[in-house]
Amino acid sequence: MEKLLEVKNLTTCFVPEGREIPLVDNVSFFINKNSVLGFVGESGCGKTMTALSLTNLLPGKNCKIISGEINFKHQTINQIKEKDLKQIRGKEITYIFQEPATCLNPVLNIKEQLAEVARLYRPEIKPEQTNQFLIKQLEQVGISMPAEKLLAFPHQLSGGEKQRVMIAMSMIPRPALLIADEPTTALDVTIQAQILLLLDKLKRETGVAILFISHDLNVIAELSDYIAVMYAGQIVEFAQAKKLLANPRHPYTQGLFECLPKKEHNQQNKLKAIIGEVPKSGNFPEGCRFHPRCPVKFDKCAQAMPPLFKLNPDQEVRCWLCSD
Amino acid sequence: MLRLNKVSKYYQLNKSFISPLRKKIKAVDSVCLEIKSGETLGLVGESGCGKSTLARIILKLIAPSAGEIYFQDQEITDLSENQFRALRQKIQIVFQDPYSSLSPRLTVKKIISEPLQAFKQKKVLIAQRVKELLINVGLNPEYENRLPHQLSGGERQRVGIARALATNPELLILDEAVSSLDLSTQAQVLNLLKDLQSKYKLTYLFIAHNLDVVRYISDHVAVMYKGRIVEQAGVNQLYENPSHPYTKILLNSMPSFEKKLLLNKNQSAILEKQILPLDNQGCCFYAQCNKAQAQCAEEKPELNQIKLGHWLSCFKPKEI
Repeated sequence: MEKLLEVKNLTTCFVPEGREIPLVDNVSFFINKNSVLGFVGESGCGKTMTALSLTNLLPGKNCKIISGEINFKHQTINQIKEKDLKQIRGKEITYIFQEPATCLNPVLNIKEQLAEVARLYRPEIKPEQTNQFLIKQLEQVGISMPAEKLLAFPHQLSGGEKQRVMIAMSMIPRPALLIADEPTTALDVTIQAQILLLLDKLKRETGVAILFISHDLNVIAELSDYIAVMYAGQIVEFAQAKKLLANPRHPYTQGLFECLPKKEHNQQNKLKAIIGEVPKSGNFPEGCRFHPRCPVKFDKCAQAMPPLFKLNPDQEVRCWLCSD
Repeated sequence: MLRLNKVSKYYQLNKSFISPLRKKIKAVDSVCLEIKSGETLGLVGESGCGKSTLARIILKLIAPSAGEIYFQDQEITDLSENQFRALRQKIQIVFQDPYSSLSPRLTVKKIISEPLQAFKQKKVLIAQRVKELLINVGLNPEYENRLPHQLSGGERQRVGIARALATNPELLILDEAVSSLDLSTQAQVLNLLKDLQSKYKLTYLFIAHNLDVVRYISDHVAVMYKGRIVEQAGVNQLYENPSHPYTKILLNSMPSFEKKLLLNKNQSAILEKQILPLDNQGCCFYAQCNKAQAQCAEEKPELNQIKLGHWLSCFKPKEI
């Protein structure tokens, strides 16, 4: 499999007045062409910041990429000029976000918003063909009555339809990588199922790779080829989805699996919860960041931060227990 | 403990130039429910189906348009606020968002003692009770002087639970109480709720959209769609033998480790929300049901018992 994106030792910090608070700490991962990488973790673990770092969409002056390399299609895109980056961001790498309602402009109809993207990134489409093209795009993402919906305003669409429009918009430039940041979190289960099926279909039909971010392990399990588990700004486990789901090795991953209510849980058989709370950035514990909550910690865990140990070619784990 | 008999809530749309007739929106449409003492009833359904409206009706925060509510065999539908006041202690609610349901300007102690003050308890007793409640929900009693912004999401939700428990309620309505929590915190709060239930013999009405969570905590589950209960059964019966087409679609839509969703693609083929006419006479689901017949568009199916403890609102359960 050819690698589409490779991130090496990416560190993004919040730097207010000379201090450095790591939000993303030494994160390395890769995405193969036409595959799905699932990013999973609890709120504040750095999933979104990693995704935003990729195309330097970080909020405010105080967030900065401190070190690391982001290689995309044989270019190190964190070291090129903003002008060149613009050719990649929005064209080669596109985003969809959690709240489709806030991403669409409420005073423009769907056609104007989609046409803008088409004008910018698909100049080969002539103005007189735009209408036809956009209808086809809406059809592709499963919107019924696309010709009428094209003239609708965002408030006239349901939540699922808005998210479909967002997906259509992000697919118009024919990106190589689609970054989907919690795209189904705000939707009902049935609509979530449709969106997941749609993303899977687009992946197979267009060959796009997807970076799928979610806090929901089940959703990640459905879609992903590879899974990265993040905790406190770091990747604690990165593995092929099959291996990770069958045999999670990091105590945090194992703990997350046990927090999911399953069939066999009932009145007598309780959930095994992870004790404590997720640490806030800037307040990470010394040593392994998970050790205060870890059920199998030992002395070394509080003293030194474990590196990522490669267990086999497809599974890396940041835990001292995996050191040999 | 609690019985609802054909409870409905209609909202009238304003007359307008375009539609001179006043239209009614049926937010909750003749809902019959029963919760037995000490049990948990899970209520699931998509957003906008009327789950929260129902919770507010039970709390008498909104008056129902029709139907009766019985609490411990006493009809409470038409009680005046004064008469109902004593019962308020026994029905409490925990809200979804622990960020907006706690006043940012009150300390934890004040938040928890407010319901106690409202029911005129002595000051000395209140201070003691607050400490006791904090310990019961697994918080350090020293937290009583903190403000909500100094707490994490899970801790806030525990404060919300402590506040609801302050008046020794018998029925606790949990309106999406764990939905906004992280996975690890969610498991902690779910376990806490179970512990509290067995310790204080609480009855829960657990409203949620996460079917796995509902399965874990509930004894019985009711599925709601567009203001109506379409199916109600014991938890295992409902998950093993779903009978209403909507329940089936809901269960098939659940993502899982076994990739059930992506492997059986067509099963979850629910259409985009089609808008039913407001004066719809038929089944609330017929527009999206692939087994719908002429009868479904004309008549409303009643909620009938198809097996002991398994209630269903569908004309053709066997064929589906």
